[in-house]
Amino acid sequence: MIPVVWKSTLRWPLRRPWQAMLAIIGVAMGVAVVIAIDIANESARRAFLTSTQSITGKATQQLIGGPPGIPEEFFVRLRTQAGVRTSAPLIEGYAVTTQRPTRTLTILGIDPFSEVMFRPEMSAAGTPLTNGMASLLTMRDSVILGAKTAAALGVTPGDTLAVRIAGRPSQMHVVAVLTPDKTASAALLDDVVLTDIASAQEMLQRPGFIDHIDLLLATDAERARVQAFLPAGIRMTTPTQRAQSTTEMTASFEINLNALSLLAMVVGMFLIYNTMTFSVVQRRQLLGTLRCLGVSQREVAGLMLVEGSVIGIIGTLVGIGLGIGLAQLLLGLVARTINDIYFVVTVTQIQVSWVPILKGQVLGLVASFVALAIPTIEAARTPPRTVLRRSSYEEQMMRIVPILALLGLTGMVVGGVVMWQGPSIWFSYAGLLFLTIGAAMVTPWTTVVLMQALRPIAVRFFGLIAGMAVRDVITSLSRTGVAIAALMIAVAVTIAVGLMVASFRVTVVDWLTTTIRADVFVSAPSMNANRLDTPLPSGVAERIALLPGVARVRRYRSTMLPTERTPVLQIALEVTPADYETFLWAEGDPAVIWPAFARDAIIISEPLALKRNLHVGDTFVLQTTTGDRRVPIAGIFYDYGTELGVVMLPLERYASWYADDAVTSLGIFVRPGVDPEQFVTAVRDVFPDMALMVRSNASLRATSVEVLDRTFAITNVLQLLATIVAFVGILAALTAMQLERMREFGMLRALGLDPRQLWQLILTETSLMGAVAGLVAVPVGTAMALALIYVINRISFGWTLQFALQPHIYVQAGITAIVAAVLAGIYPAWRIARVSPAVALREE
Amino acid sequence: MLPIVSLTAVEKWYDEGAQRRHVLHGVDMYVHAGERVALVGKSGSGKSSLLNIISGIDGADAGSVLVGGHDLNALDETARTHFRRTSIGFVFQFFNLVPTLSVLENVLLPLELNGIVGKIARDRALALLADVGLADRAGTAPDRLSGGEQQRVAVARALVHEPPLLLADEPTGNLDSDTGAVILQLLTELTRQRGHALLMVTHSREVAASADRVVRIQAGHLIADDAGTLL
Repeated sequence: MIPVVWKSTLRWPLRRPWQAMLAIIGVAMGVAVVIAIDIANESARRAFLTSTQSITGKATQQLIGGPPGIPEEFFVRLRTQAGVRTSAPLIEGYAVTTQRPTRTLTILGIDPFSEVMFRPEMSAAGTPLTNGMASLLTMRDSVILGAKTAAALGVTPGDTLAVRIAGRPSQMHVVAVLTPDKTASAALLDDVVLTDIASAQEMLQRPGFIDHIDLLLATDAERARVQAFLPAGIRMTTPTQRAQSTTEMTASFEINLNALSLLAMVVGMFLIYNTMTFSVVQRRQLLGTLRCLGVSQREVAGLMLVEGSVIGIIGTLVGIGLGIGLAQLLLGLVARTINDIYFVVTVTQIQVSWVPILKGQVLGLVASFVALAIPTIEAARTPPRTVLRRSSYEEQMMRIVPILALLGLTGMVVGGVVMWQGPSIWFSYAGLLFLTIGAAMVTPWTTVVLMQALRPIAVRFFGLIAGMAVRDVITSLSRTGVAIAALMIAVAVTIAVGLMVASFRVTVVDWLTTTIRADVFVSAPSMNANRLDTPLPSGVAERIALLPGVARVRRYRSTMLPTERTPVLQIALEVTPADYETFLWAEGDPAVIWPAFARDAIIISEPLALKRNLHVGDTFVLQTTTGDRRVPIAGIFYDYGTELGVVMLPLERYASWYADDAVTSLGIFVRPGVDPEQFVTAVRDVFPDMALMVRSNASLRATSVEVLDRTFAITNVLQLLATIVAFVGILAALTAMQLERMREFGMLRALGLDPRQLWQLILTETSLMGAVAGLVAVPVGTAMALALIYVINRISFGWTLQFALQPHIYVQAGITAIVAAVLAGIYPAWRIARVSPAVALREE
Repeated sequence: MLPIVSLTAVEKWYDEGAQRRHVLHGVDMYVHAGERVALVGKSGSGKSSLLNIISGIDGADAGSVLVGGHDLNALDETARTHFRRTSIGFVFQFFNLVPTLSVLENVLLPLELNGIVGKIARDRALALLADVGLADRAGTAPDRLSGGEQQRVAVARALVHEPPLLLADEPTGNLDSDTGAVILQLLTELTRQRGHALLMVTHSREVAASADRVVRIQAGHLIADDAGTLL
């Protein structure tokens, strides 16, 4: 049987179900956002690793070459001269189906004879050759699909699949469908197209080259023997290393998403804190009575913790369910950003493992307990004399407020120091958290100061009811203070994220204006919005240079450069003195940089320099086809194209070091008087059969900004979720506060206040609270924005952003605060104004 | 016989900034077992402070406080809570029933805190509810009761665990005179039957008249009892 003393508090939420419900929603939403982000991130990572596994199979080692790949004749030599029979060549690429909805397929070009020892799951129904693989060798553009993919695409053997490869329309003939006998293996074939090496080379337009060679090497001696056989430019690595270095590319992105999701959790914690504090304040009489009757402090604390835990557990369980649903919605945004910025990943379904669920559970409960700590202590310390001597709790609050403010200011200073001096990104976030909570602690004091200043003015110009509204904000400070602080944080976050995104936009737009000078750009379509690494067909540059109206053609070759850590983007380019001003330097003197660049040096981007602590004069190792080269760094330029880091070197030097004369994009300067848009049309007319992306300067800039906006879509969604959580909080606090004063309002009605005046009183009060929250949020949000821009962004991504002060963001935030507060006042005002004074006075 | 309450030279003050405000000055007072004492005085005279000290809710700053054989000054917070749990019954002006518990559960609460549960507790609580005339309202929520009924439940709750001392803070202060009289009669009868001491803080002449002895307090000084003895 439940002890009576437990019943006395456990039944409390049942008496105020909506209040408990809102606390549960707070926990649930916080947990849901955290879990959703985790599941979405992990699903994308696992999808990538699964696709990597389908590519690597059982290989113990992989041989990889330079940007063009490994010449196929090397594979022949490896098997014949070195006698490495446990080897298989592979070429990989991507195709997009043209049906709706479109699907990205990974093309795997394999050698069916070598395959079986690496990927047995692809030959489940017997030997590879009996499985349709023989057709791969005999039929052009023939492919094999996994049963699940074939079903999703609605194709069967004998059908033709229309796709686009690097923008070019192409057709694949389905010759067989594989049904692996193990479920685990089936996943490896998801969205994979198997084809013969020769067909793949043709589809991907890479004749004579393969991407890598898989090896099954059992002993160190075998590995040493292969190592000794490798020419310069071909390196041996393990599939795990390769997959890891690729997934590590998204580390900063994931950390930032996690941090943003934790923000929703922090706001959720405020909600629990708010509800529980409120509940303690409401129950002071009850708790005092229990203390008088002999219930000890520890027992009171236990009661509060049990009650809070029940709310925490229910909220967490609801949050897990919500989180899984939300993850499916967020997955698209996460995958799109990874595809835009990092690497190609095809993922449509979330994969729920127990880790994020467990993390969400622990976090939900820990957050509930942390949020409960202060209200619990407050409850336990409720003096029994509360009942006997009706001392004013609010008077006590007024005494605490300056101390709280002082503590808050100290917290803000500590937060600032931790943020600037902390050794890692997590310290920066911890600093930001201190800053935020410190600001919340200062808010009640600011409220008192502002209201005291406002009261005489309100009375003078708007009458006694306005004066009462102002006074009520102070006299109910134990309730209003927390509600205002919660709203302030939500609004400050809106300001901070708004300013950060705006600053990013302004910086990138300025940077694009400086760096993108050519009038027209030509490239081959790429799977990755930020990386143009598909070579242009040979001869395109030369033919364009001959077109009328062309003043100059600038050629670029982009590749992904493997390094000892994550891969970086390597851009080889032609630079003339006319191009010098397209660079903005973070470090180095242009007068020194350009001669060194022309001689033997490279230049690198700011994110790369910051992440690897590189400076002008240091050296950087380039793994070239002709061997590793340690190259001096001549300058560090600002770059906002990719956080992975960029290395630039002259095109000619690249061609000789990498034995690769391919070009991936062209910047075309037209003569004065030539309309770039008309020139775009002219280029398209010259190459009607080629899938070229031809864009004017304006169009490229617009596309770049569009990609930028896309990458912030998920940030905005998370920010919106945090705001919703905060809104629920303010709604809960204000509704509870106003309804609790039913008796007071009843008395005012009895004294002659009409319903309209009650509306006026309540809405004035709530809008004043919104206004205070908005006002305090301005400096706090600005400080948070500065922290995000100058500390967190710099540490996470290595970008120096210009701070862009945007007045409309402040106006928007102020309106949000007031509207949220007014909306939160509508229900209580409506309810109270409808109740007769007699009933209101009878309310407890 | 030793008194159940024995205060000697009790002082209580509050520091308010640089100022020290004395609320009790060298109070000597006693209450014997089974005795009914009314504590009267104006607002701010120190009545509540004295009640807080006797109940162990607050500590004295000087002097000796012996209640039921316990030296309250020597007890820490936890021990004082246990002392209150076993030795004190409270009746408040505003009833202070636990709104989340039924009438019966309110009465069961002190028993449970003293480790008395199950049928024994239930029977004892029901018997006391019958004594206060509310046996038929055991399952009712407190907010369904009238003020007088709520105070009757409070009386039952205060007596159910047989505390040697009952403290009543303006027990009729929130009731009309007829209902107040009923409650007062109930209090005096039940404490008399059970031999409990009763200390009532009151402004009411009727309440004071029902006591065996009246102790007057003025500006923190005990000035007289009804025998006219100057203290």
